[in-house]
Order: sequence, then structure tokens, then C-alpha cells
Amino acid sequence: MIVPMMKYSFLVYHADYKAFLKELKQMGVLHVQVKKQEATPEMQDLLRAYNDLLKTIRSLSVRGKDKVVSGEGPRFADGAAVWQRIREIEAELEQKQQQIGSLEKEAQLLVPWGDFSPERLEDLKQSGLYFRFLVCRDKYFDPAWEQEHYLQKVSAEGGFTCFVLLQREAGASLPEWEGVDETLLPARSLSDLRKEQKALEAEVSRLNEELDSLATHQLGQLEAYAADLKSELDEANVLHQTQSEVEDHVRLIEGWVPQPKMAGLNAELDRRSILYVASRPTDDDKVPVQLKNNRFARVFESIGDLYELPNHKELDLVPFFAPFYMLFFGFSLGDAGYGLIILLAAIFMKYKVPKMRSILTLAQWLGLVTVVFGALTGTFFGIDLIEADIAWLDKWKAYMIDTDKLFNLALILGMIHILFGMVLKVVNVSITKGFAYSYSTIGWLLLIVGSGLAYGLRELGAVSESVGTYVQNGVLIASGSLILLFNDPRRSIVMNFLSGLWDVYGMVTGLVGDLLSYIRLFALGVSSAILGFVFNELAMSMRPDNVIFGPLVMIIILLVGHGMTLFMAGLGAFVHPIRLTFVEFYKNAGFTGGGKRYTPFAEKSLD
Amino acid sequence: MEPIVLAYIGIGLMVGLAGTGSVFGCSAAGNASVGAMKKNPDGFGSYLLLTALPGSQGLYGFAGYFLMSNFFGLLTPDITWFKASAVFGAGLAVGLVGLLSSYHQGQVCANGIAAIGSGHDVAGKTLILAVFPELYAIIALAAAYMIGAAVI
Repeated sequence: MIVPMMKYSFLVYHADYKAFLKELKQMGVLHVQVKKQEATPEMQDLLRAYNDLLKTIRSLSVRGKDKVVSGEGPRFADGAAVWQRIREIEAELEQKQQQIGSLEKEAQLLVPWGDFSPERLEDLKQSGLYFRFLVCRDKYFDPAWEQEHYLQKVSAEGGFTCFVLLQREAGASLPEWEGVDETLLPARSLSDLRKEQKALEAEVSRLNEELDSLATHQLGQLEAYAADLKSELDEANVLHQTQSEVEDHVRLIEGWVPQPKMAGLNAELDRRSILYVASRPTDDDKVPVQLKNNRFARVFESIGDLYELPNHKELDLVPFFAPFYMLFFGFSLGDAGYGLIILLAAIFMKYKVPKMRSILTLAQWLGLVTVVFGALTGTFFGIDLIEADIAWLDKWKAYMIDTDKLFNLALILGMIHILFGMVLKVVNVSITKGFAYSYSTIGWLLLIVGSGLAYGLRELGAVSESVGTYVQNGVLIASGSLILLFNDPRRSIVMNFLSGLWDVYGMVTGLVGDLLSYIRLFALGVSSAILGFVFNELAMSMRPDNVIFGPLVMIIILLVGHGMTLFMAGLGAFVHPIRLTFVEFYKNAGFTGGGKRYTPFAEKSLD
Repeated sequence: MEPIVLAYIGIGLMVGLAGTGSVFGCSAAGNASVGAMKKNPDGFGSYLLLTALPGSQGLYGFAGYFLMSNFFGLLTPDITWFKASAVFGAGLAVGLVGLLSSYHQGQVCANGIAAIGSGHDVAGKTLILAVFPELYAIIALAAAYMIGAAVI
């Protein structure tokens, strides 16, 4: 359910405002009303810095995960200093990598020529000997050139021949050789370049070690700094939302407080002599939303969060869709073996990772329902228990549902889901607009349930034809008048009738489409059973006759196959009931949404 | 022409088209992964997962063949025209739907991979969105199952 909120307004003398904000933060219950949506440039810079810091923390924590760094590491004044150093290191690393890159490019030019000293070349130039470094493709190189000129082949690799031409004049022209290019070599020797590269690489590894050490030792300081930045951002936002009144002498801040916290807050405010006004929200107010649910429904709030929060006036649908979601998941996965794996894995993980309690509890429920549905449909790791010849299962087979009945069951569950949604719509509309507005929905409910009952009773022979027809007509008249004549208490009957006709068209097409959408549950359930069966058959038929390899191959095929099926079917079983909830159920329940989460201005607690 | 020919043409379409679809889908996602790795090599796990996702339609095609051959035992030399046309119809359905759904699912995955490469944290949501085209391949497989069950 949605926690009701009260609107609080505070009027504070400007000189006392900073101290007041501090106390407000300590009390930590006020959700500050957002009046100005545009953030100031300072706030935007702060937000940018905060987001950059979060990214840095994320990448550092990945770095420091497996590294073992001995020693204590250098001390830093605060998180800001750590971050500054990290940014310096990253800038230096980038620069050094670039230098290494350009050195490598130069070195690559020299590699075919080997290591020689450019100084020697200079000396030889002084003596009147000029070396030209020439390259051509192997096919263009003519060994006859070696006879005609002072030429030495240096290397022939990668399809290219490198050779040196010795000339006695400076700037002499090259012979007219096809496909031959001259390369201008760097003024340094290969060994010099490699030495410099090595030095740079040593620098880089030193800087990386420093980053690792920071990641191991200073991550806590960085995280504390990030928390400080967030706190600063929150305070800046609150100041931004504060209004100045009475020629800037008085500050006005408004916000929302959950009703259960009111008593405690009032006592605190009275104790600190702070002036306040508490009032109920008006119809136009955009009140923040805080959900409060029992232990079972609470784990499904994370699924509801995938879509939208309800607005503060309407019904919270989480506790209502929770059991159906669970049911549909079990239906779609529909294999007792897979359900058992999910259940056991969730129980095991709950001990290993207590932080993920809520999600793992959800997984446990979903696994449990899957086991139940798998048992009901007689599927265990793809083995069809209904067809199988297992003695002790015989008396249970009577309870198992086969495929034809499964199709009908999916549609029946869908109908129940939709009808339940419509009942909730009656409640929703009554809460938000008034009971009189829900006549149309009541009419539809009456029509569907009443007609269904009348038809069913007639078919079963529980009532005679005439009574059945009488009831049917009664239902039609009653529901028809509700749908077509009384659908909106403020409009005239004529407008209601026309609008009602349009509503009939929308409802008929909508309902049929919605109902058929539930067939996906049947399709998903059948496909997971089929895939499990296929892998079982594959494992049986492809096992070699060898005593050792036979079972080994079989087990590998089973593990890989069932693993893949569990993942694919599990994903489908997770996503499609979500779609059914948010599209079919929410639509029929008249969900409007658009609620904003309740986030009080408070000290951040230490996790 | 013997009826078994029509049945096996259907099987060929089922396995061939669905598998081809998976090839297109996984390749599109794989190509996007190579590009994304240049920008963000840390996301390889997500890339792998999203690239593997369009591969399931080929599996459905194969599963459909298995259903017809082993589970329902329809592919016998003395199959009737009635059963052969059912197999052909099922094969066409699974093959065609598998081809197109995998092709487009691969594009959804590729877009998601590119977004992850650019630094957006969208792996989970892309996974959810990519499941929707696959539903129709699942429905086609279920239809093939129902067709087989109806004719044996």
C-alpha cells in the first residue's frame, strides 16, 4: 500500500537557515518539494564531477579485485586528493602510451634494417659515402642490380625486400627501378628506441602499480568522498528549492513527510522550537510515493519498479500482482527439475551473498512455484512423467495436467487475472474519482461473470432453459444500462450512451486481445518441456558405446543442454509474466502511474 | 511424388531456415561486439550473452525436427499425405518465423551491445527487450507440437 503523506511548510529566519537545514538532515524525513526543475550550473558541475567519480570508483574496484598489493600505500589528506592523484596518473598513462606507440612506429621502420648506429652513417657521409635505404616487393627485385651497383640486400620478409644502395655523391638520383621506394629512417638506432621504449614501459607499469595500490588501499577514502559530494549535491538542491520571502529575510521550504513519522517529527520540531505548518495534500499536489508491503509482496516491489510507481492517489498493485506473477512464472517454466535448481541455488546464494536477500527470496518463491507446476504438469528435466512408466507415480498421475488441459488452463488463468484487474479498477476508480464513476466497470464485470454463469449453469443442466434465459436477459439489461447509460455521473444520458458505445467497441476488441495474450504462458511451458526432452533424447542417442566415454558424453550433453534450456526458458518465464502484468493487468486495473519515489533529505547511512 | 518427400521438405525448411536466421542474428550481434570491445573491453560477458541469445531459434528448428521424428514418430516411409502436409506446414511455420525473428532479434541485441560499448548500462534491459521477438518462434514451436499431436 502507499504510505499517506502530509505537506509540511517551514518558515525560517535567514540567519538560522543553515543550522535549520542541518537539523532537518539529521531528522531525515522530509522529501523536499521540487519547484525548480532546472539545476543551477554549479549543481550541474557538481553532478558531473560526482558521476565521473562514480565511474572512477567502479573501474578501480574492478582493478583491485584480484590484485594483492603488499604494504600500506601512501597517505592522502582526503578523498579529493586521492582522486586528483588518480586523474594525474591516468593523464600520465595516456601520454606515455602515446609515446610508446609513436616509438613503436619508428622502431617498426627500423626492424627490417636491424640495429645500426646512425652516427656511423654520419661518419661515412663525411667520408663521402651515402647510403640509400630502398624497399621493393620481392617480385620487383632483380639480383642483377647487385652486379651493376654497390648494392646489398639486407632482408626479405613479408613479401618485401629491403636493400641498401651506396652512392658517392650527395643527393644523387636513384636508378630507374620499377616498384622501388626509398624510406627515410629515424635518426636513432633501433637499440636506442627499444631502450627508451623499455624505460617508458617501466614507467607505465610503475604507474599501474600505483593505481593498483590506490585501488586496494584508498578505495574507502574515495567512496567517502563520493558520499560527501552526494551530500553536497543534496544540500545544494535543497537550497535551490528554497524560496526567499519578506525581502529575503525569511526562507520558505516545503516538503512531504510520511504520516506515520509525523508524531515523532512534530515532537522534534517542538523541542527545537522550529515553526512549521502541516496540511493535507490537495488534489493537484504531486505527492511522493513510498510503498509499504508485507514480507511476501515486498520482494515483488523490485519487479514493480521495472515499470512505474503508482501516483499517490491510486491503489498500489504490487501485493495484487505478486501471486499471479509467481503463478505465471511457474506455468511458463513448468519443469520441476529446473524449479528445484533455482530453489536450491537461491537458498545456497542467500548464505553466500546476504546483500542480495530480497532478490534471492524472490528467486526462492519462483523456484518453489515452478517445482509445484512441474509436478502438476508431470515434467522433470524434460522427462514426461505422465507417459513414463514409474510405479510409485501412478496414483499421482490422476492429478497431472496434460497439454490440452494446459492450453485451457492458461486461458482460464488469464480470464481470472483480467477479471481481478477489473475488480481492482472498481476500487481504484472509487478511490480516485468516486464510486459513481465505476458503474461502467461494474457493468462489464456483471456482464462477463453473469453471462458466463448463466451459460455454464444452463450447460450443466443445473437450471432449466427458461430460467437460464431469464437470468441471461436480466444480466444483459442490468450490465447494459450500467455500461451505456450510467457510465459518467456528470454527463447527460445521451453523451453517456454514445461514449458507452465507443467503450463497448474498445472493450470487446481489447478483452479478446488481452485474453489471447495469455496463450504465451502455454507456449512457453510447452517449449521448455520440448527442449528438455530433445536434449534427453540427444544425450541418449549420441552416447558412444564405450564404458567410460558413454556416460561422460551423455552427462556433458545433458549438462550443456539443460543449462542452456534453463537459461532461455528462465529468461522467457521472467520477462513474459512481467509483460502480462504491466500491459494486460495494469491496463484492466486502470493504473495511471507517474508517481515519484519518496527520497528524504537525510544523512546517508553507512552501508 | 511420395508424401515423405513433402514431409522432409518441411523438415529441411524447419531446420534450414531457423538455423539461417540464427546465423544472421548471432553474426549481427557478434559484429557489434567486436566494435564495442574496441571501446569498452570490460563488457565482454554481456556481449557474449547477448550474442548467444539469437542462437535459440536454430535450436527450436532442431527441436521441431526431433519432435516430428522421435517424439511423434511421423517420418516413416509409409506416411500419408495428410500427415506429410502437417509436417510440411509445421516446418514452414517454425522455419519462417525462426528466420525472421532471429534476424531481427540479432539487430536488437546488436543495438544493445553497441550501447553497452558506448558506456550505457543497458545489458539487463536489452536482454528483456530481446526476449520479445523470440516469443513468436516459441509460439511456432508450440504450434508445431500441437500440429504433431493432432495428426498422430
